[in-house]
Amino acid sequence: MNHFQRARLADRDRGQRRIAHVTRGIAAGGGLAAAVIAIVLAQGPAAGSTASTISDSSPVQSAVQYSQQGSEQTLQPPAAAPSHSSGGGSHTRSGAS
Amino acid sequence: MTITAHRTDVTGAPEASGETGVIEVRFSAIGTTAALVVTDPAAASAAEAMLRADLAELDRVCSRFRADSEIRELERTAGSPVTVSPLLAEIVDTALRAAQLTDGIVDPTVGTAMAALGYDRDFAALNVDGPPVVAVPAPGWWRISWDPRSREILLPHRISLDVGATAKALAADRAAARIAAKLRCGVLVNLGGDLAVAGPPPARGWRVLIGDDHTHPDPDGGHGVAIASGALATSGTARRQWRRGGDLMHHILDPRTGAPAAGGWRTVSVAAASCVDANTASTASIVLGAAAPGWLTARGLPARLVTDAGDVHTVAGWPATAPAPAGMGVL
Repeated sequence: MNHFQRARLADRDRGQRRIAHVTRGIAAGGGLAAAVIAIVLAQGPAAGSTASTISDSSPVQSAVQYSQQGSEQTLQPPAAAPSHSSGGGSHTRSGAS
Repeated sequence: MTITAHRTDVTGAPEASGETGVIEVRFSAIGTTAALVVTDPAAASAAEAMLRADLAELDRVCSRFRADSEIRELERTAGSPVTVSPLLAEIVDTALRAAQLTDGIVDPTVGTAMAALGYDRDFAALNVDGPPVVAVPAPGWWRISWDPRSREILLPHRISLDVGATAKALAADRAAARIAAKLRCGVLVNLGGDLAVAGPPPARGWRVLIGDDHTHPDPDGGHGVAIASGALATSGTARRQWRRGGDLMHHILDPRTGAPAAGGWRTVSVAAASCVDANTASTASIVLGAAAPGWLTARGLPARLVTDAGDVHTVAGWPATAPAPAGMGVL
């Protein structure tokens, strides 16, 4: 690996660490905000107006905005693991493409 | 991009399985083989039309080898915020989610690194041999500024996106769900070995023959499994190989180095709830190497991993390897 490649790799590692830091920060901030909101909702007399205020809040701003809308934030396993196929031919093939 | 379709009755042994009229349609699209299997023969033509339309739109939006694709246009406007189409938004969102969930092991900015290794055009037009090249790490997915609410993206200069793997898997998920909902039958969509199923499955599940190459059965007949729902994807280094300076290249790169992954796995198959997740995990596993079995197990993802030497490992409930039953591999 030459100097250029090492520099690019170091740059990439720095970016990866930075985004991990931002992600943790957003997660921690989100957790804290949820706790505060829960307390406010539990104590406040006008839940409807409070909820409206929350829904109008501006999105979290960061250098990188990558939060996905409505998608799972973990890789989701199947409902059931594959089973042995017991003859009768195959419907299709799976392999490298 | 598409050529003539090949239609086959793949019912197998209806007298034993209780299946009737399971039909497969196969055609070339998006640089690979598209296969569609439906449990209702009367739905085959309509289902084929829906899949072809989906894949034509996918190609127009995100082919990195088409000068008129939306993703190439995005690269031409690098440095400025751009609002993308709903489909490209979903593709970008999916690719960035994969990057996030794999700590950058599956990185859409790998297009830059791929081009540096010489894979800069449709594989069929690629020179299989050429002069030496220098690998460059992928610039990094976190450099992309993306707001999913407004569908606005800011792509920095000198970043070439390659969303092929996750986009193909997303297309399989979308098409299978859409076709099953509209035509009310069981559907399997297989795009180059990455497949999603939806609707009621055949009596004994969707039977899938696993191998190194989705176009040819393994010499030993392959490994047969059945799934009733979800998806299954296989990543491998056995196809799309070329040489530069005498060194063998393949299309699964380690974004940290920009070089072809050399983790010791030849083929990895993963089952997941969606084809996107299965493909993300199978691709990451090729790059992760020795860490892959533990990584997959921790996520509860059933998988079959084959070493470069041909040794087979299974994790998280994937059935241990057994010889393929007689008749398998004949489509």
